[in-house]
Amino acid sequence: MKDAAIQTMSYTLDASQNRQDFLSYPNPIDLREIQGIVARGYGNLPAACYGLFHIKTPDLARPTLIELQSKLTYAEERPPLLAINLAWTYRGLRQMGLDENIADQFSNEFRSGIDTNHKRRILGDEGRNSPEFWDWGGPNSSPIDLLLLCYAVDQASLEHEYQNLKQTLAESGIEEVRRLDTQVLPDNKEHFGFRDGIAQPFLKEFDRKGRDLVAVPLGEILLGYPNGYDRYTQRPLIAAELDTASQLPPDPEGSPTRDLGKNGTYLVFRQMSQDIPAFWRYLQEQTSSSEEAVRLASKMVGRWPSGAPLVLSPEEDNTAIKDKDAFTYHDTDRQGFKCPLGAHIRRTHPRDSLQPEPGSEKSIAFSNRHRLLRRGRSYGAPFHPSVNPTEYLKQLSGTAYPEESPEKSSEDRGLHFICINANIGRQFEFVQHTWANNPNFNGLYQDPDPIIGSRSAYGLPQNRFTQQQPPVRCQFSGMPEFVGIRGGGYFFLPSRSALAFILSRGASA
Amino acid sequence: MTSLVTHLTSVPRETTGFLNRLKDKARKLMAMPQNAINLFIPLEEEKEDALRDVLNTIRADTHHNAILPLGQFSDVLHFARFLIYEGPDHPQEYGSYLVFIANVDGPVEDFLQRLVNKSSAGLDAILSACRDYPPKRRRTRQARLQFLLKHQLPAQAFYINTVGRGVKQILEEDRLHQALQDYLNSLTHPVTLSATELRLQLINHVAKSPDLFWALEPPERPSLLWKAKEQLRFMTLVGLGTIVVIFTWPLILGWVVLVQLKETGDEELANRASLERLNELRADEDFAVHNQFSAAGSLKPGLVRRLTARSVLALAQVSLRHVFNKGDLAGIPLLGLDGVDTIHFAHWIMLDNDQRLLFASNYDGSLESYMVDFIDKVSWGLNVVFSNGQGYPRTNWLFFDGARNEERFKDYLGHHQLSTLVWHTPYKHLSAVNIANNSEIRSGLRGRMNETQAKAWLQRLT
Repeated sequence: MKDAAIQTMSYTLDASQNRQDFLSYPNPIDLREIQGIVARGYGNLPAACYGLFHIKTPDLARPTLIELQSKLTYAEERPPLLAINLAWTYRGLRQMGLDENIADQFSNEFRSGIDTNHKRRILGDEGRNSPEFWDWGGPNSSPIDLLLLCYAVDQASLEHEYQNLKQTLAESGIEEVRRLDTQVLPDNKEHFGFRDGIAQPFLKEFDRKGRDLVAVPLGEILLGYPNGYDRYTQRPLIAAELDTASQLPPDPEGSPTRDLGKNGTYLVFRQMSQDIPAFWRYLQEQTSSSEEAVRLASKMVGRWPSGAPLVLSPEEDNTAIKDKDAFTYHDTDRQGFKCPLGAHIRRTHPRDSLQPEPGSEKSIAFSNRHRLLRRGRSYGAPFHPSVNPTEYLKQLSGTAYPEESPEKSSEDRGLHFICINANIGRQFEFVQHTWANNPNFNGLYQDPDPIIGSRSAYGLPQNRFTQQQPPVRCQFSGMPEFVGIRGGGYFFLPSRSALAFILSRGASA
Repeated sequence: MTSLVTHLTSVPRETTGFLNRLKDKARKLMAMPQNAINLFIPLEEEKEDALRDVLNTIRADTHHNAILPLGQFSDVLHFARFLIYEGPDHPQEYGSYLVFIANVDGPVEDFLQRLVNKSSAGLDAILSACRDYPPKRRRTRQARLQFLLKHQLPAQAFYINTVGRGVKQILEEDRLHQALQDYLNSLTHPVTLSATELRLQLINHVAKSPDLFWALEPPERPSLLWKAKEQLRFMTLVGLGTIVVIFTWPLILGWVVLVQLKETGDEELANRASLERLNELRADEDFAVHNQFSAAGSLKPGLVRRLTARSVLALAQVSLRHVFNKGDLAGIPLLGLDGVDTIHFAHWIMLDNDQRLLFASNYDGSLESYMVDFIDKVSWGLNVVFSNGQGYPRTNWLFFDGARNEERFKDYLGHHQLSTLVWHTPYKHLSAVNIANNSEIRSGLRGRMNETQAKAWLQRLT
């Protein structure tokens, strides 16, 4: 055990000495163990695609997957050309023969999957968003075992690499179920026309700038470290004798077991189709000018198209705001006059605005136990190449633009939402249900998250948006759905040594 | 009490006259405006399956089903549930109970009487699965009522979100809120008005609407006499408590040390309930803004635990009735303790000669949010009450750790939660915060307000 600890330390030192772009001080975590997507979004690799695979013959697949290990990218390096990460469904792990007693120790959410009747209810995946209609990950589409995340410096090398991989996998009975392409939009925007990816949980272990911010405990994002309650989140611990190659780290809590979860985590994938015409047409209907439409849309998001938060710039967009994440709600905007109480960013990351004791550190600590590390990318061609709301509105006003059928628009573009968290129930599902979908969030009555919230709950329509203002609120109703769900799943993103163990024979008792 | 009820129901009202009214008044003065019904009725093993079928029919639509349409009681009935609780003592012997738990406005006896009068056939369909239910020919209203009353259990502690606020008031004020929202939406330029002007306009609208006019009157509240009696009761209990503490504090301290010593040796549950079990429980959740939660567990053996549990529940009952009776459970700002504003009603019921405790609550949000709410805000409260339960995550000095061990606590609940077969809610779209806000909206229709007050009040119309 002592040896393992020493080894861990030396890995870390090596990593930080060799890579200038990473930490300049010794890090207590072993970056060689953590898949790269946890530490970075590979912003320098604009071409990306996700492959969903099904393992037909485990015995045939095993040697190929063992070989694939050396191609995977870990957090120690910032890959200049190519990055590949690999995540598993519960089914995939069982398919590879992972012993039931081990597999049973994964989280309940991961084992149940994303499409039980209860999950549908809390995630809002009902009606036309039911998993039955999903393109992938639902009961009517092919089972999924593996998720391959591929990133490259340009489309050509991505194509080359992915085709090769696909070929190799296919030869050993690992069949591509679906390939999901991505699209980089200008200025880090998403399809509705807003800057995305701001306000990520701050993890000091991965911070390259040595900033001093309120940190989210690493255990909220990775297994095997203390979480927001200063405890270790449930994860598979296995008897030392099963780890015949002694490849797994010891249980950090000190038991004689080995930790299969440590440095691994859960990845939630939701393919969200975005109906751009529906969104901007609704805003057009509710307002009388394009400025007003953009303003109302910004109220719904909680940020202006540039990403400037309404709390810091309530009246107009302000591209001069450098730190778009440096604000709180309670002292500046308790009543929601600047950023409405039901705005998307105020719900999905309420900062200091909720009980206990709004405005206090307690309140921030509460919010920070429900954080998601977002790693998704957009897909599909933009509604207008500029991804600029004003252009969208012009395009919609022009009579030349044909009515787009909902089916067509949803196939066209959206977001491959990917988030990483150590506890799917307390993080992803909580944010989606208790904050985004909940029409009664924060004292409201019938207001779902205007962007991603479900438009019905408890058998009742929920389609209002309330803009708080003096002397009395302005209410918008009959808000249609702007986002639909096309696919999704819960995945496990193993550490380097956990993957080696899973693929070894020892894993199947 | 039973004999009083028998008396009341057997003698025609006119003949008892004045005396009866006096008795009624006295009863009202002594009773709480909201009350807990807890019925535990032994079942006949061979009839359990049939009973489950009956309950499933009710469950499909608790308001309008053909057997026991609970919607007809929506002037007094808040939440109600049926469950089947498996008998504890001898696992090899059948000992299951039918459990009915509800919270009602007014005396329990009045509600049960109405239930018997209005739904005798429905009651028969359910209760005929129970041991010693009168045979068909002897089933009079009287016999049915007697049977129900006989199987009542007291709640050792009972939480009422806001004492005095009845279901009728909740539904009416919901209507008021919606009407005011509609009215605001019909105004073309409310922005040009001052808060005071706009408020007056809203008040005028209410005054002119025959179906809203009632809202200008304050809601029916417990009488001053009742409040004085409650105050007196509380003062007396606090006085008595102080005397007890003054004279026995070394004993109490010794007791706490004793509990602490025992605690370190107690086993804590260290595994999760089966996924199948958990998913079965989840299948009954998240159909409304709020949810039901029912759980039962064994107390740790021995007199020390039993006495601790009894005393803690007695103390809890006093604070729930007299302190935490206005929407905030366990918040004590003076001590920097946070409360929870998401609980509608909660019942703690000791069973089987104090060997088990059954807990039943109605809370806003999902089970996940309910659990983290309590872990984050009132873990001390959970610890003090539930640490006497076998397998509860280890506490320190009764108040500390315990539920703060998030996953152990969630696992503990997973093992002890009971499946609620039928659950009825009369206001499934309203959170406790909504309900309280609606009451504030109504009370803001009365009296004078300056511009600042009017502004704050208008923001309640969110």
